Amino acid sequence: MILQATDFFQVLADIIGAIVTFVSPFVTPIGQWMTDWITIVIGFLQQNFSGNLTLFIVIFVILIILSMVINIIWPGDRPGSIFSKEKVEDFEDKIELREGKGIIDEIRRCKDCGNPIGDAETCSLCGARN
Amino acid sequence: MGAVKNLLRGFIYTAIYAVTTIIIPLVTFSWLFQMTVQGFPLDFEQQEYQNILFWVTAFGLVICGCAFFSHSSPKQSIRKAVFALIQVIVNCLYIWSYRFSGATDVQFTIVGYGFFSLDVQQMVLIYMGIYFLTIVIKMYDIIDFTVNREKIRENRMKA
Amino acid sequence: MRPSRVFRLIVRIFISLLTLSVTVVSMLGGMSAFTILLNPDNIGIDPSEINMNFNPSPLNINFTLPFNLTNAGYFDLENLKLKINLAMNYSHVNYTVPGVNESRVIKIFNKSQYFGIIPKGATGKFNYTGLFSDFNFPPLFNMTSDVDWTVGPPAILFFANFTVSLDYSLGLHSLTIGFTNIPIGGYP
Repeated sequence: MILQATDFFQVLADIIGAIVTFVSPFVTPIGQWMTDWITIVIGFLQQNFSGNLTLFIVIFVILIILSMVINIIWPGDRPGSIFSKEKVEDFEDKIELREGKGIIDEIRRCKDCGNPIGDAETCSLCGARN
Repeated sequence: MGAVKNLLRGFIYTAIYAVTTIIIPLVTFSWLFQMTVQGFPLDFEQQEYQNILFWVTAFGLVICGCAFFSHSSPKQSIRKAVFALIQVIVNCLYIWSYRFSGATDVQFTIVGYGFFSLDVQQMVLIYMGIYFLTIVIKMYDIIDFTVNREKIRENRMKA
Repeated sequence: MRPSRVFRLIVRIFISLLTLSVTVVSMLGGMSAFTILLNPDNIGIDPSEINMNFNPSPLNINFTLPFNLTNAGYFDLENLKLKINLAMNYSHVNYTVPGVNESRVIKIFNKSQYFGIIPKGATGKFNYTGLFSDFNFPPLFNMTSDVDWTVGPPAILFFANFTVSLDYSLGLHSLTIGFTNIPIGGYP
């Protein structure tokens, strides 16, 4: 049982190792570039904001409050904000209207009998002039 | 009701990130400083405990704030994507600040015997490279949500 | 689902697979390190096995240290390096105030030697060599006249620092283990 577990881990190590070995030459240079600019940013932060946890607490509180305010006013499940006059039902009607108006509705029809007449001025079915 | 559900989701994710980015690292570092090996106390050569605590907490707070903003925003909204991108970038700073705190190059002095040192900088480089792909995906999301915002809003209203 | 979302999902799966792979490699590397370190027989470096030849006049010193390392883990051990620092402790003859000698420690040797790779499951047997040309005695130091040979035996004592360093987990982890101030013998 223990030997089987060891074999399993060895097989796993071989497979995962092959993946990492293949990807590593592409990913490592990108990682090095990332660390270069991150090093500069962190150096700047350490020089100017080290020991000042208050700033980060303020940023945290501002993000929380801003998020609550914005996501309450614009919750995303209705158009506009909660102060908007347009009702959801009107918006849904507009969607239905736009979806319902398909190619069939775009064909010109006779005013009397509803027969599709296209560009013709006279209905071929009832003879009415359109 | 949508706003309440979104805010609740934001609070839950913030709590998860607070535990994983602030509490667990602080507890782990505190435990490491008290660890002994075969009865010998380990004396950290790099006694930057305060520095580690500070930057883990500082970046952890910003990550939690961005996580709240992102996860309490409507699905596939532009603001959600923007703050998710900011969160990933701050996460990069968080991971790399471990290096400046000495956490990627840790040395233990085993009193009267010698020392033991572990450097995981190469591993952090690969993680950074993978993180770059995540940043690219987040930028892709912003572009996608901006280009298709009308369709996304209609789908969201219908749901 | 929009095609853009499908593409995004594929890339996300790829990124998750990469992250998981690196994490699994790290975990397996950690498991291997414990497996190797917990068994003392896996690390066969014994200072008492240093074979040192020393002659004060004419000055000649060299040594060899056979050692072995068993890789009981899941990955190859790469860039294995052994660094040895030697110091010599002796009673320095004080020509200014005769009879009042002082104990001095001088560093005489500092060399790293690389031993390549130990494949997983294999035991590497190596021989570290320190030639006379690798030794660096302080300028103007005279082994015959500066050392008080009436002290002891031994009149001089040798101490060593051993530092073993290697890369593991496909290079993701770099390990260094050091043993400091190990006495390795004296003369005469």
